[in-house]
Amino acid sequence: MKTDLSPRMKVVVYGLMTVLLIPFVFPTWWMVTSSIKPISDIFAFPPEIIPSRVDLSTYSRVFELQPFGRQYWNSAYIAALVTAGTMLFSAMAGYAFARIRFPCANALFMVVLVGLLIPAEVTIVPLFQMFLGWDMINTHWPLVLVPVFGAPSVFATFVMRQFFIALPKELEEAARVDGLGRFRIFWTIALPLARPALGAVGIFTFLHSWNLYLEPIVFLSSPELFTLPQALTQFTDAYGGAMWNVQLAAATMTAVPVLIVFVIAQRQFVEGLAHTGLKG
Amino acid sequence: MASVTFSDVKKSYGNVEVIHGVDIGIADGEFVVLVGPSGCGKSTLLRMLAGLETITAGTVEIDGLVVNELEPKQRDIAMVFQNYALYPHMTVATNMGFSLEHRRTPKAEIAQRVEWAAGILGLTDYLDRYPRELSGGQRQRVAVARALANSPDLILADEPTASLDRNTADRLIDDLASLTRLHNRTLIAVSHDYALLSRMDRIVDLADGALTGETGHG
Ligand SMILES: Nc1ncnc2c1ncn2[C@@H]1O[C@H](COP(=O)(O)OP(=O)(O)OP(=O)(O)O)[C@@H](O)[C@H]1O
Ligand SMILES: [Mg+2]
Repeated sequence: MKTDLSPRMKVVVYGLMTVLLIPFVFPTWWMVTSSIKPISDIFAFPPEIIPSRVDLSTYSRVFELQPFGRQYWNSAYIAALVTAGTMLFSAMAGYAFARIRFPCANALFMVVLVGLLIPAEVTIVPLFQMFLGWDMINTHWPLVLVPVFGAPSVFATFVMRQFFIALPKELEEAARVDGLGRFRIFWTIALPLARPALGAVGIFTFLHSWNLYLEPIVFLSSPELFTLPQALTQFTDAYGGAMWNVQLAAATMTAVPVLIVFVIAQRQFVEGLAHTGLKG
Repeated sequence: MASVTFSDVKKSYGNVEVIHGVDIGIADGEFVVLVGPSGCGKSTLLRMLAGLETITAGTVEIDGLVVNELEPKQRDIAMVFQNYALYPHMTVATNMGFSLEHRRTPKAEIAQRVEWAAGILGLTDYLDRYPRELSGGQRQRVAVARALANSPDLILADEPTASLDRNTADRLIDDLASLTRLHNRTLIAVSHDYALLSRMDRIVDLADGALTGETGHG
């Protein structure tokens, strides 16, 4: 967007935006800088915005105190499985609800939507019972199965359904005339066009899984199975006091993939939107 | 080679009957145009022939075979849609070759047929573009070219000249007419455009879901 602002307006606008930026950027800045300060400097008064002494040993301490590499892998592969699974299932379910006529489709969709109204805290105990029965406690199975087949993918299904409903029917009719069956139409026409919606689903599913806290602490008890948000609570000294600098070093490493996902997915968003430039 | 017969075809949406028993016989290699006021059921008739709408009563035959229950892909037809329905995520060339590719036609033959159809419609320079990078008239020509590239015996076209200027529309109609003559294709088109109708083999008039007249061989 190009607007012609006078130099004075520019100063005002950029100044205002800089001020607005502070609440967003400062916590991240504080997290990163504190992770390389000796612990006493974190509480220095006045606060040190720019660290005066740098201590990078906190990052190696993270790996000494916890099987952090292992925990990182746990979080990463669980989030990857959950994201891929949710994208696949929500796209297929959303498409079915949008396009395939079957008995009680609308009633069934309402039933599915009810899943959105039930908070995770309500279902966690029955889920624990269920996975106990399946001998899956202290494994990663619940962390993958619950989001992919449970409430979290309901919202994704809803998003995908809304998108597919808005897709012009003629495109699929053209594909039918071109000789494609239902699944091929879904796979080669509807799904590629759904990239913006799929991108959105991918982002929020990944973030949701990456940040998941309640489920891991309920289902997991061995440190080598922990996920990152759970691991972050474990950096305490012998007296139970928090080792802030080490914890923040771990937190910084935990935040990196989130930033990467945002950068990648944003490009997908824009490209996807450009592709749906339908006009008669 | 394809002949088409509608016998007492009716169509209802819910309780509303929009086509009230239409009989049309179309011979092999004929170029027929359906005309009639907006909402009289032209698109519906074409879509029933394509297999995109169920047929409420009566029969539709292609080459003597009743196709009422056949899927579109079993009818060996190509269709030009009223709003083009080009695949937005594919280039013009991919759009045109999509059906052939799906039927595992050899790459060289796909390229050749795409080239040929693009040549007829003056699209050779646009093959690598995406539909969003074309004007309305160019998109319409792509829609027609896509139907030609598949070269089925029966081509259905819903308003194929609607957003073309007089000259381009005339040329397109000439090309379509010569196509039916030279390559023996049957072509059924829908049009509002009474000025175009001089070259047609036959004009079928519809009004309110019923046949009101036919103008014979021109
Ligand atoms: N899905 C539908 N549900 C209910 N009525 C429909 C549906 N599709 C079409 N109709 C009705 O059927 C009639 C014929 O529609 P059709 O699209 O065939 O008209 P048309 O002759 O192609 O008009 P136009 O020249 O404006 O394209 C119209 O009265 C229309 O309202
Ligand atoms: Mg119409």
